[in-house]
Amino acid sequence: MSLKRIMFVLVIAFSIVIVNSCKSDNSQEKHKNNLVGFQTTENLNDIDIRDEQEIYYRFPSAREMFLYINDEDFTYRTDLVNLPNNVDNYLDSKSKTLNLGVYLADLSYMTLFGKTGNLKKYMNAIAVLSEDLRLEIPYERNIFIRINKNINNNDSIINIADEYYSKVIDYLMKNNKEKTLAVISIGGYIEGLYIAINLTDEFSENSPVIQRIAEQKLSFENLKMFTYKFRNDKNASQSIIYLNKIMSVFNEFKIEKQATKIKQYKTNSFVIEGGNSIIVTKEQYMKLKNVVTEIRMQIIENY
Amino acid sequence: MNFLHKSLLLFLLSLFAFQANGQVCTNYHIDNCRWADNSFFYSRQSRSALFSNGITSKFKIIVYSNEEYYISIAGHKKLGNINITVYEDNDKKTELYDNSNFKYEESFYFENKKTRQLIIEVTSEKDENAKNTNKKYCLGVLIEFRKMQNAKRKSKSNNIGF
Repeated sequence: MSLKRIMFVLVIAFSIVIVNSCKSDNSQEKHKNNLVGFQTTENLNDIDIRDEQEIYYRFPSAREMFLYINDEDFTYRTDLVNLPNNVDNYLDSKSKTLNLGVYLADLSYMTLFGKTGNLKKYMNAIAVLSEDLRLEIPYERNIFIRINKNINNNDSIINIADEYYSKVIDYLMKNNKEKTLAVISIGGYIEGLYIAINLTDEFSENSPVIQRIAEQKLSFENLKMFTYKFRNDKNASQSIIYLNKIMSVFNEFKIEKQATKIKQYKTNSFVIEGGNSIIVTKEQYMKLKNVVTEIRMQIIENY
Repeated sequence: MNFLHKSLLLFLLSLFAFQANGQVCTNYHIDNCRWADNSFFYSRQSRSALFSNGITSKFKIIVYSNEEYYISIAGHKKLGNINITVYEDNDKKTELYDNSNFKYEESFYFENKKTRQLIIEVTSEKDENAKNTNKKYCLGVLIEFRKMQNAKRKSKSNNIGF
């Protein structure tokens, strides 16, 4: 057989293997190919197909959670963030992933208050952890070059840090790393809640910030349901334990029922009024504060 | 064209077939939905997915109190009119909005006074004439939000005097 023919046969064989692997690689995929809709994930290895939920759960990012904290109403506290030097203490993938979420929440907190002094150190910590977790954040090098060029321009540094945060989260979503996103989000949510609780000095029933902290119950519920489908993963299942502890306190909060009303303005514009309220007492709030503080310590000190 | 070229062409075609088979919709809402103005922030609760004709799929989101939301939907034209219905996730599953009442408008806006869980239900149009009902196309739901303008104004106007 001539060399050309051997080449031809090899290429044909290789092509067949590729096309077939596309089918057999996904023995589960056969089932999945019949699935459409929001609940399906393109990374099927992450979940048990029997757990496919009827409803897909979304939750706001830690940064979206933070937007209610108005920098005009609070004083920035430097002691509430995880120290960037701690990054060297995280050796296992669970602590790396959870603390990546913690540092991302810290980054959001700092940018919200316009604190640029340590942003680069935090971005470095995020870069170290994401590299260890083999997350390839696009244009990461360029972002650090831009930080160095704009080191004396606060506004630019804040914008670049914000952009970096978005790139990390977008990367996880675009690359169907939802299992990793779930664990990162748990770290970020716990850090966000820890910061918010500690920024408010005293409990007041009428404080809109305390009300918003109590309402995080709903976001935590969605995050828990989202993570639940990855519960066969060791990191996810251990992180769910943290969520469960916090949820058990949230579940003590009273729900005051009220009907929801809709005011229609135009064809595509309306107002949603009324609806259930979450009522928190001082004792419950303090309990939440203690549990969140304890879990947050476990995460950042990795014990 | 010699053997080698033919083989190479065949190989590239098979790679193309592999790519085309693995349709990815992850960014569909970002590229195809109509965006609100710059005063709104992008919410990471937005979502795209593969749909076939005549299917319904739901996802649950959180909307915070005193925030305004803009939701926009887009899908491949073969999916026909896309019906989006919003329910509150309470005991009664209160229906809040249904775009089939408004000629399948592709975007809507609302002010939200209390934090609540919503169920977004999306249904693609049935295609009775379609030979292959298993064909899948991308569909996306874009969610944006901002602090309520009235609330901001109110709190500012209250901040007067000593």
